[in-house]
Amino acid sequence: MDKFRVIEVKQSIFENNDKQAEELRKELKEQGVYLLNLMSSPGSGKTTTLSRTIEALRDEMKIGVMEADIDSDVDARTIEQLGAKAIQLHTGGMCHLDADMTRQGIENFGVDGLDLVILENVGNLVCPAEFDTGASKNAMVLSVPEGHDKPLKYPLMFSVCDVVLVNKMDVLPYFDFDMEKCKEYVHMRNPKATVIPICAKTGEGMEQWFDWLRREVAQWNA
Amino acid sequence: MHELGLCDAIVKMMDGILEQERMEGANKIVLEIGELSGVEAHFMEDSWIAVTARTKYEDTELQIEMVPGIARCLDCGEECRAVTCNLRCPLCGSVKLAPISGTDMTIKSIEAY
Repeated sequence: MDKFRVIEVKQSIFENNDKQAEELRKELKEQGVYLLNLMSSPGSGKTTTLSRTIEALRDEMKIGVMEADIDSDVDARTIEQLGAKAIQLHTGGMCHLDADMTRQGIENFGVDGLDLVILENVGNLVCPAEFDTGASKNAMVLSVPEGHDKPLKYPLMFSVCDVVLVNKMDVLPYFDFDMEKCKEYVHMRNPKATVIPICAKTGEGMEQWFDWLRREVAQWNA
Repeated sequence: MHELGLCDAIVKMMDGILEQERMEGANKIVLEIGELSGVEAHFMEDSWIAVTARTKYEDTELQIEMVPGIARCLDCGEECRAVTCNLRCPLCGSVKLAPISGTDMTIKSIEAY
């Protein structure tokens, strides 16, 4: 009866994804494609921010957008009308994208000749933070109505983000949103994160965000 | 609810491991889930049933062992269980805590045949 055997595996399930993400990041670096993983909760103004960003940068660089948001109200065509190449990814109801799904998207998309690809991740502050997509950097949009204590409630999301855009600054007077507290809480989770207050609607702070992206893309291709 | 996707990843890893070990199937798989991994044990159990239904792992028992999530205070070095300390060091009150265990999920062992 030596047919049964206990195999000691001790193999990480996340490690697999981390490895795939590292490979993808390396390949994109070689191709000179900067991949930005954009995360947020639903309704934070991610799509408006994205549209304004494309309009501002489309003459300087070739931009592609991979839409993974299940409940996205912007389809690939709308993004294409703004002058960017776009693809809608089907997550099959999944709550996040992992490195393998991102790779499949990238391969179907064809990123040849693109300088910047923005991956609009699923609107959710939990799961997308747990899976490295292989992106060059992680960005998130936090909107004023969500409250300045979000970094305390979703610590992992803020610890993986390189830049946090605090959107809807135009409604700040109507909410109990404390910008200094917000920055303090973000830096508690990630001392290196850049916090940029913006308003995608009025354009406030957007130049600072565009500059951040320009610098990032230039450094990636350096 | 990414447990469904994780179960799918586990099945693929099992396929590879069993092939490598030249074994047919498995009676049991033992998973270690870290308290800070964001993975819910009961969702894993439900997802496992759904993912393995009508496959060769249909009768493979999923056993889960939880690994405590321990954080160390970067200011005073105190260690605490992250889920009960409210992300603050119980000794000095610092919020600069770094997780030192319980962030991962691993396949511990497979009882293969």
